[in-house]
Amino acid sequence: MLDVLNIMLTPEFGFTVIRVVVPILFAALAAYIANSAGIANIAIEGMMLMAAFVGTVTSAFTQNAWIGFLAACLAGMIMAAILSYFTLILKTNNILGGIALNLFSSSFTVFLLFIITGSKGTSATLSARSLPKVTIPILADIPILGRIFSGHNVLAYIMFAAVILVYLMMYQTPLGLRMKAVGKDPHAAESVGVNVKQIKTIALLLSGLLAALGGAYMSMGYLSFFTQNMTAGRGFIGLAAEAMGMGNVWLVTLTAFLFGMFDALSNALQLFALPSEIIQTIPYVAVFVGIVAYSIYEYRRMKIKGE
Amino acid sequence: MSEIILDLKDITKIYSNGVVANRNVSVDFRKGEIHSIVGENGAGKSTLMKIIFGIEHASSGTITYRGKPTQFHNSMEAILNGIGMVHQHFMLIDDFSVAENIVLGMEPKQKRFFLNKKEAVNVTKNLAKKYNFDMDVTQRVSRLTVSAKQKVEILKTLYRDAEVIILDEPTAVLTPQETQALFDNLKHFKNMGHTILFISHKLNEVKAISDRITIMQNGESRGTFNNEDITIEQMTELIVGRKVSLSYDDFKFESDRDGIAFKVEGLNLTKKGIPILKDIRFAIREGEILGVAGVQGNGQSELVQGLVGLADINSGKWFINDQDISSLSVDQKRIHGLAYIPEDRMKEGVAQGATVAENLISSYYRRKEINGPIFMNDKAIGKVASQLIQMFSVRTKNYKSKIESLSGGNIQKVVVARETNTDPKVMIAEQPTRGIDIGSAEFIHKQLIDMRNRNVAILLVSADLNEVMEVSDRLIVMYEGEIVAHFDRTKDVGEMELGLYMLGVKRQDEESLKRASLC
Amino acid sequence: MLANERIFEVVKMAAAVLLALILTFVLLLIFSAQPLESFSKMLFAPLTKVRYMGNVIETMIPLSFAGLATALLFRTKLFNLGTEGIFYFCGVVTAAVATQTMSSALIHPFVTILISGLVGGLIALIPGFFKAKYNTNELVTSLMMNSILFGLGLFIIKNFMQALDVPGVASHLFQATAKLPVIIPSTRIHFGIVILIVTVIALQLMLFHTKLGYTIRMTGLNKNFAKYSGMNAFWLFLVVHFISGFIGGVGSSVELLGMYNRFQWSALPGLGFTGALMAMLGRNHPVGVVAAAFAISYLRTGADIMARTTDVPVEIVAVVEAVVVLFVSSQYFLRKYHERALIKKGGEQHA
Repeated sequence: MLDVLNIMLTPEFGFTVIRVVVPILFAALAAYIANSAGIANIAIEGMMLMAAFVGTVTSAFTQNAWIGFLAACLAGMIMAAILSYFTLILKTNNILGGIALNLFSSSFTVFLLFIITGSKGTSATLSARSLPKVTIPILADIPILGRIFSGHNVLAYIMFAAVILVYLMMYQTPLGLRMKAVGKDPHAAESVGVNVKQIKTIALLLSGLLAALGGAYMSMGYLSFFTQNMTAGRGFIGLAAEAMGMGNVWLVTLTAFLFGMFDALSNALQLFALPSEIIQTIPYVAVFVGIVAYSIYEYRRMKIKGE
Repeated sequence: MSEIILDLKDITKIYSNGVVANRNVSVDFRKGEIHSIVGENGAGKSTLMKIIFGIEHASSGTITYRGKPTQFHNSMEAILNGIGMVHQHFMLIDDFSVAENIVLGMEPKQKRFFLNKKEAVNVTKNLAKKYNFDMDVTQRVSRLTVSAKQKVEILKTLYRDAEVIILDEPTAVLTPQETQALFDNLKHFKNMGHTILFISHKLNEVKAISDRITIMQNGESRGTFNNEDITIEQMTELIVGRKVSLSYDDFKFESDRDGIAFKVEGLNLTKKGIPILKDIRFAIREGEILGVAGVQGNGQSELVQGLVGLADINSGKWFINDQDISSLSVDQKRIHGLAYIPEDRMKEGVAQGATVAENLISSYYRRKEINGPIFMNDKAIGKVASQLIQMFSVRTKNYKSKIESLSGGNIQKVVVARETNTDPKVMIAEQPTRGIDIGSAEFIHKQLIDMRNRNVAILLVSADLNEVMEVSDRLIVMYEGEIVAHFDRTKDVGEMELGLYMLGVKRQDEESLKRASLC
Repeated sequence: MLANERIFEVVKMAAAVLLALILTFVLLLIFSAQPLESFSKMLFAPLTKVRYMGNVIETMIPLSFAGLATALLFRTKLFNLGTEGIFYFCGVVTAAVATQTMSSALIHPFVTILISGLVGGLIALIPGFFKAKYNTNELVTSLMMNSILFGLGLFIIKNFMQALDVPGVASHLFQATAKLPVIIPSTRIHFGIVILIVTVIALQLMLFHTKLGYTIRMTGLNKNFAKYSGMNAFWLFLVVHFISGFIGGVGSSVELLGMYNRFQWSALPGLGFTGALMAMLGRNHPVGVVAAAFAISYLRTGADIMARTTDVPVEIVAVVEAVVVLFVSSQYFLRKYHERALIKKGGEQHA
């Protein structure tokens, strides 16, 4: 027990938390934007997976990480466009549509992977490019903080910026106000001429973009290649973090970090002689417990206390 | 005579399901007039307004606005061209402040991309001042009263520089006093040059406010008249061809039983520290209709939801024939003889996607008569359903039709038929005729009175003053979660007096209020 | 003709399938050296041999069970995707019971399947309880549980049941008494098909002819209405979750006892997720689910044969599945034609 605590108090652990939280937080932000506009975007997982695949493969073909990155973003947004076409124009239930897109992504990426590499497992044989790591000049020299915050993949810093940008957009711009209006009461929004479909489409596309950033990180930062189903539920962990954030960006971010911590813990505990199958379930158990605890809290809050 | 600002010629609207909502309607509106459109529910008033506002599109006919032929494709175009509409159901976002609601869609900006919140507050504050509306624009809309919400709706149109303002049944939710205040505002707008389109089915109000009046019946115009050229009686005749004021006295038998069927004791409810219901006490005799009057949002729906077991209550007890049912489940309450016609038929009253028959049995589906040992007895269900359809003259192809294929009035009849068929001792009816055609409304009122004559105790909650006054025997008034008045005979109460209680201006003494409990 | 609701549904389904196939063909044109051959293999190969048709039915059985389990949840508007984890974990349970010695070949599979079903039901009660009591998001909990159950199941297999003579994840061999017998010679179609048929009939009767079914349908259509009518959502959610988990457990057990000699799933088998597709395609209707499972199994078998003889991997079926599901669950897809037909019909009646 003490050993575990010792590990958690090292700067390396802090570094790992940031390393593993990136895809989760991007997913949570993606869920947050979609949800603000009144759409439960279940397809984040699939968007991430597709982006992860397209990103690394494109970087292998072009030998340019940034072109790969742009392709990944595009892939995520195309998935979002498909979802918005079906849910907004053809009125598919967004949960069912999301489930279908997720299943599509998980098989279709394998299909393409096999066509391109002849393997159904990983794209490791391709010589793909990764996005660069960044050493922050002054910060890197500060003793503990430097070791926690410096030297991450560029997407980790984009993530921090994204949190602030998402906040500014939701609370300080007309677009944010309209998104919230559409999410809370589409009829009311429509009555003052807000184009509900347009706002929802924008929200979904942004959501797809954020999910894609998380996906790109998986195959071009966290790892340097694609593996079958490599997002492993991170999109859903992001959704859970969003659900527990009660519509507040900062709380969403905090919850994502909490889950990231358990993810890092599960990584750290691999060092001990514990059954790895069980250790690997830790992040999922954390989310399960978290979402249950949250719903109990909500339930108690809604229920009026007796005299 | 001032210029014509908006001119409709031969407007016809046929919906995709074949229903003709408007047929060859021609009417013109002058600058700076208050022009009323009157007619029954379903006469085509709302459709006509939606066509003007760009929400619906005319199948044929022409619209000339400010001298140019126009057809707005959506409400945004109408808004940009100076037409505003205050909908019957408020289009406000409860979680937003008044200012945010008003500027939404045309937000003041700063530094090109950002919202200028300060400016939003200032602009709306000045706007409210200019039009004599006294309100705190930083307040959340959810905290406002119904009439304040209506003011926000009107301010929304004024913020968008509406020259023509359409008000769809604006007085339906107001007390007589609030209506008066609204009329003062409208006259002020008129003097400032706005054109007001006032939609209503309350003829005395129309008479009181309008310059000109257009009468609609069955989708067609029956003519436009100067106010002074037409009497209420003449209007009535044009609207229905018969007497419109409903009186149900002839249907009521004097009840000879006076046992108390339903009794409520000391109901309290607090939400987020705000008291919603305060020590509610009343009783209803067998064969009696107790009306609950009050402006919407004064605790009526919480009271009803609590009584039927769909929402929590902090404290209090209620009884059917001295049997305490307060802590029973919805199901058990129903078994003890409670029935409920809900306020929102689509949300609670029926299951869309299910058949008429399935909707006709939901509150007693476990009854032996329609069940075998293991399986439900489809034949028996069909028989019950057919009977109810006939008894309540529900217009449907057969009991296997999907419920959503029926009209609003017929759906409501299904709800009433089902609840009646539970053979209740106590019936709670909440807004039982809201938004349905007058024929169905009348039918439902007669059914309620019929039940009363069969010794059922009925609690009738309605925001429509006419309804509670016409149908109920006794009356209580709710204001801010309290009963503030009780009247032994509905007949003896004047509308204006009722309004004073509904607004909280007057309040009866404790002795009088005690009589609500019949002791 | 399009005015009729049912005919319209069929036409819509056919149009969706056609679109999906066209898209598949386009993909084959891009990615395959022999697109025509691949395409015709995928579409027609299953018809060429009895054994292939047998494969279709064998594939259909677990997909149907997974689909039925999910359809029941979806009917009640519970978006729970936990069938995947239940399939995996109940497979482990099946392995545990099937490797025990038992004298009778009649009782052994019966007991195994029953225990597996019960465990599945109990597992499903976990997200079910939290949903029913606290309105916990069942989509998230069930997905998390899939990963947890996978880890737990793998742990149990590796530490308590691992056959040491076989590489990779593998349990000991099932006892011969536990296996479900093959019932159609020259195929591997096993007794599971009978269990499936019984399950479908039972579900069909339950859903459309019992009080429980009535409450499930009404709750699924309008939860507020069900509550208003006095139906108890708490118990209903528990019951529905249990039955769903039970069907999932039975399906997993039937699949293993019918098709395998030992437990060898080293990853989630994907059957549960496909079950969600079956439920959607089958419109959450028991018979519809089996029909959907048959169609998808047919395509998968075809794609499998194609994959063996051409350069196209079997995963291409996912395109067909996803596209069909998306279009079929679209309310507005082709609706224009439906409405036009309705208006025309209405016009005739008025005339």
